[in-house]
Amino acid sequence: MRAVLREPGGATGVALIGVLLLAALVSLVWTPFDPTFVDPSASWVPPFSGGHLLGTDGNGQDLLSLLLAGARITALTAVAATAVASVVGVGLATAAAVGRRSGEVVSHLIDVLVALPTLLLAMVLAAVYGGSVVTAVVAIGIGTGVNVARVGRAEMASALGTDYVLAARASGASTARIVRRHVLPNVGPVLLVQLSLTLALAVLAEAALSYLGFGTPPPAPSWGRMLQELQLYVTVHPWAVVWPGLAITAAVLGFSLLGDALRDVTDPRLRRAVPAVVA
Amino acid sequence: MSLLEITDLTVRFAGRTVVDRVSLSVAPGDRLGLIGSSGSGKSLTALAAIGLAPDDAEVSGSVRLDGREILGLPDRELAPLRGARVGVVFQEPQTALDPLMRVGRQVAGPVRRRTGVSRTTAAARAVALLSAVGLPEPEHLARAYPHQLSGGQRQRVGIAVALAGDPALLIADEPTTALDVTVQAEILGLLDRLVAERGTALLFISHDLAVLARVARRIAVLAEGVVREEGEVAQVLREPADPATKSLLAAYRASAWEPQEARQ
Repeated sequence: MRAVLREPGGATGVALIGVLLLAALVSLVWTPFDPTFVDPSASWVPPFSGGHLLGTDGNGQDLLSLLLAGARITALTAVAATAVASVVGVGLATAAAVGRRSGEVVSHLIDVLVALPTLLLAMVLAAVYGGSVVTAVVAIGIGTGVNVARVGRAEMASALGTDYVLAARASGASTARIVRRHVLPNVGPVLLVQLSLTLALAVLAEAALSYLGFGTPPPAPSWGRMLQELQLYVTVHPWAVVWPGLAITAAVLGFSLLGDALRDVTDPRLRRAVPAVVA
Repeated sequence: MSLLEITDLTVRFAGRTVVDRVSLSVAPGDRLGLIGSSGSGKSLTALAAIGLAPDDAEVSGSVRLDGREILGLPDRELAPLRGARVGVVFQEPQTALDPLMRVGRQVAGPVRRRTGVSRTTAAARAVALLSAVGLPEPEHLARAYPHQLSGGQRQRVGIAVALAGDPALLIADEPTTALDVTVQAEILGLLDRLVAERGTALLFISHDLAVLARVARRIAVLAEGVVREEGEVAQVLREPADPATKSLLAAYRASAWEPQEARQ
């Protein structure tokens, strides 16, 4: 972890994530205004005036308060979706790497699922079960989880082929014990990197879903829906749409930088290499 | 009754026969050396003997451990035998230990599986085993990770792991090949002593006649997957019958003789 902070990208990433988490926590106890409070007399207040630091939208809702409250949804979906992704990913990867006949079936299943776009899957689920945070979390979790599984499967297969796994088998260890005690700890760093990149994808996917109207339902504030509502007025009040855009970019960038820094630290082949470009 | 009775063991990879109708037997307390050049199928024979041949290998014939057929048994039934009836020491001490697990725990694992004792008791026995394989400061070393140990120390840990389940048979697959000559001699002496003290039978695999002559009582010569010759060590060395044995013997004499010539 200390090595991550020593990398400039890693330190920036951790700082950005810190700001996101802080915003989410602060919004639980305090926001400058009630984010859902509508004040028609104060619509489109420009930034830095009338007590509205970032201005207001067409309903007179305070944009800073909306952003702070939106950070909750962003942080929550990112963490929850990544938790789902880790369960789906590690589960599928283990099943694919360990089983012989069944492993092959799971392997093909992963390949098929990888081909399904996460956003489409989420939209289908939202159409069937209605758009909600839970639908978004499940859909994003499954969609990104299969990517974790694809990487995890290869890593676990190579860990299973090592001498120390053979030695553990020769000393009578069961398959379950070998996976738990020898394989998972040794592929852990790779999975950790994958999961931190998954956090970035989840932030982006949640924003995209909300933007398209399949994510967080109103009135809960969400950066994606703010972006969609404010962009209609981009020609009249161009400053307003900048805030949610910046917030989304910063959050995605934060998790991406953390993931890249983790990868650089854990993968000896990439040590001292050129920093990866953030997608 | 033999402890390990291998009859007509054949291993094929994609139609290619690597081990061809090998028959060997090891009695309790016996010491059999299996010798052959690289690729002669000796390691595969040993792995197949405990059901650890690679997944894509076709294994046929018969392997009886304590009179019980183990070929074709599922892993679930083989696992209790491994470690407890047969322990294995591997060739590469660099890779045969889990890099992320403290060595004490790697030794304690098979102890617990065999005896079901508590974690603390197993840890204490692991320390005792580390001391039995001649490691200095075993309490301290038990908390070390493999990369903090030298190659010779790691191989001693490997031997401790193999003996942790108190097996009746120890399979040593080229345990000294990756070590330098002085460490090699120490490890051989250690194996010799431990096996004698515990009355463990030994199946020792090597390509080095000098090494085998030290620890084995009988040797079997393997070439191209076939057992060419088998007998008492002294007799095979004195009157080699098979060309494969003669060439191994010639290679051994050449390597033993060359330094003297260089000195002159």
